[in-house]
Amino acid sequence: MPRLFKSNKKTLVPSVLNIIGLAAAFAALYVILVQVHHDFTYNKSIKDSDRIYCMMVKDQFSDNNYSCWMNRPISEAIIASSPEVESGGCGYIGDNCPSADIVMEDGRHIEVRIGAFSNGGKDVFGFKLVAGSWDNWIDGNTYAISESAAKRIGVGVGDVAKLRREDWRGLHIDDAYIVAIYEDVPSQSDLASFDMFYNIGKDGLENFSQWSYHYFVKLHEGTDPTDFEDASLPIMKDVWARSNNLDLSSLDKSDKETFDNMVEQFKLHLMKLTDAYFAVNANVPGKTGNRTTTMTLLAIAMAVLIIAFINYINFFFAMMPLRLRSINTRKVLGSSRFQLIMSMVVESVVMNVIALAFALLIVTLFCRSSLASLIDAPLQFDQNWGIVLLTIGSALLVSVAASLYPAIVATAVNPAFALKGTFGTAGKGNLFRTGLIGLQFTVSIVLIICAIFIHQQRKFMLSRDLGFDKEQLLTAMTSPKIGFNRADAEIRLRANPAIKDVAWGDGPFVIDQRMGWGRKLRNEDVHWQCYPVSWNFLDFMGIDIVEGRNFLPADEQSENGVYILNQTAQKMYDIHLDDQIQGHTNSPAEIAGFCSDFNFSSLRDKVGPFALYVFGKKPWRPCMTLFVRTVPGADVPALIEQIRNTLHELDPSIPSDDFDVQLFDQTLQSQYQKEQNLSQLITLFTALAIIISLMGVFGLVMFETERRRKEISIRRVHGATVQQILTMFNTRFVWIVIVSFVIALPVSIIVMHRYLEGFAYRVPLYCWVFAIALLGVLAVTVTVVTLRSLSAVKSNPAKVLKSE
Amino acid sequence: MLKVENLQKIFRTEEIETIALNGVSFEIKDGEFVAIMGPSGCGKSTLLNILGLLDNPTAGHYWFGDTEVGGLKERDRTRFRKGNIGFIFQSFNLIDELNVYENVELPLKYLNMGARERKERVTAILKRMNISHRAQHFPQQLSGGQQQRVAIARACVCRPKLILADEPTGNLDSKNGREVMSLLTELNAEGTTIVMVTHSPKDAAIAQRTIDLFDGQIVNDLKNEL
Repeated sequence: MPRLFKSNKKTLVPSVLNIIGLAAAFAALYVILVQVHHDFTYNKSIKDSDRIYCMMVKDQFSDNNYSCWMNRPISEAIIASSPEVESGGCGYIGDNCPSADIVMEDGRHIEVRIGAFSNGGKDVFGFKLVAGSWDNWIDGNTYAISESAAKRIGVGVGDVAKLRREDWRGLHIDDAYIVAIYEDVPSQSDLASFDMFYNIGKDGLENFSQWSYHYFVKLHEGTDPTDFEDASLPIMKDVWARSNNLDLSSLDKSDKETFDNMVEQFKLHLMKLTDAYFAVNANVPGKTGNRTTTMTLLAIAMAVLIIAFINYINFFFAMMPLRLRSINTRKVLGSSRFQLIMSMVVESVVMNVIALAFALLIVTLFCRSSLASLIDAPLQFDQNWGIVLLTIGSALLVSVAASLYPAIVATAVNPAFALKGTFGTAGKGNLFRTGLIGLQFTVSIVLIICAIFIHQQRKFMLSRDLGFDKEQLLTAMTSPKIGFNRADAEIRLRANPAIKDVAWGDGPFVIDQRMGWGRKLRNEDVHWQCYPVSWNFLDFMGIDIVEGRNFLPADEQSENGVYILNQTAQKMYDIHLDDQIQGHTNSPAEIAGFCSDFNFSSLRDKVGPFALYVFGKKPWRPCMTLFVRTVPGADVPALIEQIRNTLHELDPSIPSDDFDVQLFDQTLQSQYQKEQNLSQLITLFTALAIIISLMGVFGLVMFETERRRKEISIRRVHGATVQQILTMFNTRFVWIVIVSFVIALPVSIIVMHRYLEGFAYRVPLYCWVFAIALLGVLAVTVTVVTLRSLSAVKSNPAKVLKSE
Repeated sequence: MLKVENLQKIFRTEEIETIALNGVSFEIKDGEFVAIMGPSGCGKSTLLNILGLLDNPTAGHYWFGDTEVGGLKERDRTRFRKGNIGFIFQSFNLIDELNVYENVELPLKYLNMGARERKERVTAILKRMNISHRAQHFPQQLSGGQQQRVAIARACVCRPKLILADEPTGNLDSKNGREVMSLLTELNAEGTTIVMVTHSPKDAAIAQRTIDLFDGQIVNDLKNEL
């Protein structure tokens, strides 16, 4: 048991506070290290990951960016013609894998994530079969399932499961044939983002305009990816020419040059799968992270740890006047300086071991709480032995380092000088402690400012005027049957007095990735994101037409579809109403008008070129995403239930509970999940940092008041009031907070400026945030100091002077 | 100057009740030098604390001048004490973190006196106590005698009507003890009322009057022959 505990009752509370602070800091360090390790090693455990690359081309929607959306004919031709490729093919992995439900016989739904691969794509990742055969894995209804998922669901090879899915085909329940079971894949990889996958088959294999597939290649060992990139260009040109029925040898020099330039815009770019997680300027398949965020979290963990250790060092220094007499008495009695230093270091290590034990408890509780979902990686100790050892090692190392300095200082004092009790008069110890507390406050203030700004940015993104009316709006994915019979559905839904209006779209309205259309305008390539809608969509959403006309009911019967483009597209490509641009058929679609800009993706991105499109009488597929505007004051939960029932009546094959009717705000919030997680994590660790800091201040004030009881009494005897003594104690801490704020101000401005740069639409650096951080820390500090000092100040001075 | 009547002080704990003062009555006139003597635990320091308004009596009356101060609240006692009463302790009770000058200046600060006047007063009193050359030293760097001189300087810097001294020579050698008593005599000669608790008959003999306490009661109250 550390001597600090048993030697003096005065030191018990500060000691316990220190251990709690250290335990919280160690727990935070462990949790964040797990996340950081996850981020830096993501996908690295996939077999041959250093030879696996994502195929990408230049993003046609933004300069200096690469896109992972590939077209199949070109990609397959490159793979087939390149000797550098060991295996290659397409696949949907990571966040692109949709959720689906296995509908059990007893009606239960078990959520699963669905991946997809072509044969070649599957070979890239080297799945090991434990049952079944790849021979039967042939189309969109045949599935390979992971060993653990098969066990969880209770299916085996040859079983047929009912799979409920929502995708571009709408809400549908299909038979899923389990044909293969594969060995579980590494958990911290994109392969773990799905439980089962189907065969993409020949989908899109002949479609040159469909850039909606992710492609992966595994290169032979020793292959330089840039050689492969260069070698792919002639293959690309050849396929492109064939797809456009061009005879390259017959082109004149100018046309040849134009053709070459056009194809070179799509030159292949390879990105290593292991680099994709932190990719910048690239839209990559799979899960992505943000290096700045990861480093920010790491910095926060370090900050929390530093704050805890500052408490610790401060505590040791604060103890010094009390302990000097004992240390030097031992010295006088024959103890060597080395023995004294070692005893203090051992004491420190014991305290840290106790703190580590508490930290294990905190992490265990954290794992069982909802907060664990903020961390991407599993937090269980048995899956993170390396990090457990690293945390323990860091704790012990820093505990030795943190105790060594105070031990050296304490044992260096002249015994005669120390026994006389004059250490406190030198002022150096006080200055050092003050500096350390200042550092704690600086870190805390920076964290508070960051937490408030991240919260404000998220709030701003959710509340900003997006350019359309998102109030009283519900949305739901319906089924193909309902989509093909929209008129019936509208009649039924509009009959509900709580429903003001109904419109339709093709998938979610606000989303970061959607289909891109590349078209020709006056022989130039133009690209935009396209969103097929019902004719009344713009009016429904309150989006203004700035030129031309709105969609008309008759547009739903047009032969070749009708466009309304946003102003950004109009200006970027100088489009006129009479321009001829191909729609979804081979013929030009009418450009009916131009609408004002609105945010169709998250506010991280600027508004780009965008087209709203009415398919006409020959749609690729029906618009199946339902939008419902409720009347003001509608009973939303009841209405959601009514909508579900109506949709079920329209398509009895789907149970009413399977229609996921959501508030539009809910779907919008899911766009900012990453920001929400970051905001929650930073808020959590900021709170932790502040609590630990205040525990340090509390402990220090408590110690100071105990140590200065005599001084307080002398001052009181000589006329000081309670208020004057409290002011004396508070003044010191107020000044520390003010100086810390002055240091924290530029640091937080730089950090937040960099963070907010990641958003095309962002909040300004509000002055009030800085003021709140300062006033908040001041208020809490003054409260803690006052409350802690009050009892000492109110003691009867006569009694204190007698006892001292 | 001050008058106490039937003063009682009882200390109560959960287990025991101790009567520290039991019906103490006396009067001290302006400019008197009174020594209080008695064995340990007879109530000397308790009496001094009550006279110094550091504590309230359990019963009885205490007039400081014309004001009944025995039942004052803590805040009022503090207000009354400031500038009226100076204290000298056996263990000096200087503040370690403040130097000599700052220690002496302390009561003047609590009187909200201007900086210039404070400086004049502190400089003058340090000179008078013959410790000007130690003004920037910290208490631990001084000898016991010097520390007690600083304590006396602090007690009288605000020119109080009453100085209460609790065994002022108890921690000093005889030479320094004599010097301290000589300073107290000087202050008394200048008109300051002094009440001194002491164990030393020799120091008590310097006072004009000696009150003997025993078991919380006055057993003797005699004028000394000077």
